[in-house]
Amino acid sequence: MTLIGTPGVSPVAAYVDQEARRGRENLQATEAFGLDSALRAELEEVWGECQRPNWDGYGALPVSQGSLHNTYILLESLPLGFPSPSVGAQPDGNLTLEWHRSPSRSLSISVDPEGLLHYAALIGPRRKYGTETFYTELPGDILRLVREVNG
Amino acid sequence: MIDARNVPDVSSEETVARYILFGGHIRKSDQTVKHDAFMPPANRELSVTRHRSASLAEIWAVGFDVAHERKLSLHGRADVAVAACLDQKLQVQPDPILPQNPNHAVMVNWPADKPSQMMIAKEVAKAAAYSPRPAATEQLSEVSQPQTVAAEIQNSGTKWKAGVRGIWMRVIRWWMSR
Repeated sequence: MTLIGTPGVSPVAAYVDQEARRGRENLQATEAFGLDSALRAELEEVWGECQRPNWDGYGALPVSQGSLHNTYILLESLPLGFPSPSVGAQPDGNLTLEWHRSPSRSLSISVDPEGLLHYAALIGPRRKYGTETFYTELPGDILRLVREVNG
Repeated sequence: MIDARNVPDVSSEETVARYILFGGHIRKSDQTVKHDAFMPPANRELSVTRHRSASLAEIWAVGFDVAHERKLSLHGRADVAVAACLDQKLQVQPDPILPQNPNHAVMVNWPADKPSQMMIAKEVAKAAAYSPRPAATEQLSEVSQPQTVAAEIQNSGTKWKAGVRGIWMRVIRWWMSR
């Protein structure tokens, strides 16, 4: 089970949050628990290919640094052991993350440089889509959708 | 290809192709196309090519021309039935680019908000069939595009050296394909 919490405001809560973050960063810095090396390579590859205009041949904008920054933070914030998404890009210069189990179980998130996450999911006959604000962690609603897609 | 002097409306029975020029639009796991490939640009007109009246070789040839013109690699094409687009309330309109591609069309009527666009693009991608670029077509395409060879010669030192290198590359490719 993964606990998703909202950081508190008291000094104690701030300390706990800081320690939890540091612990996670330490774990992620290791080979065993780090941001998956294949995922990191994929992110670097997409970033490298999509920095020039028209990278898709249809007039796409270059992927923005803001989108890269937010995508990296989002990936680092994923709970340990969480399924890894694949990385993509869209013509407006946003990076995308996709959890895809089958054609009818698939979730995509477009990571906006301004901190918005646009998402769309196919879960059997259901369609879920919308926009959430991204602070430092994947919003609970989207996290649940990831679990539904992979469940 | 469609007669450029008489371009018919797009019927619901037709199939259209979206050329894939970015490898990240293909899932490595199962070689299917991601919805990203069907996300509309800012003008909300998604470029596609109609299969109507075109041979397979012609459809690929257009794809190679598009890739060559944009100095990108053609990874493949995603075919989708027009009926699947209509199901999503999209419309497909003829948009011939003359003289190169009288079969060109655009997918229009996309909603303005991004989550709705993503949802529709996912449904369209789900209905699409991806075909990777055939190697044989690539060779044919290179042979049929003298400007490719000319560009190669121009870009690489003296004409003589590039010419010899080009000939050797073709001999090697021919030998490998036997």
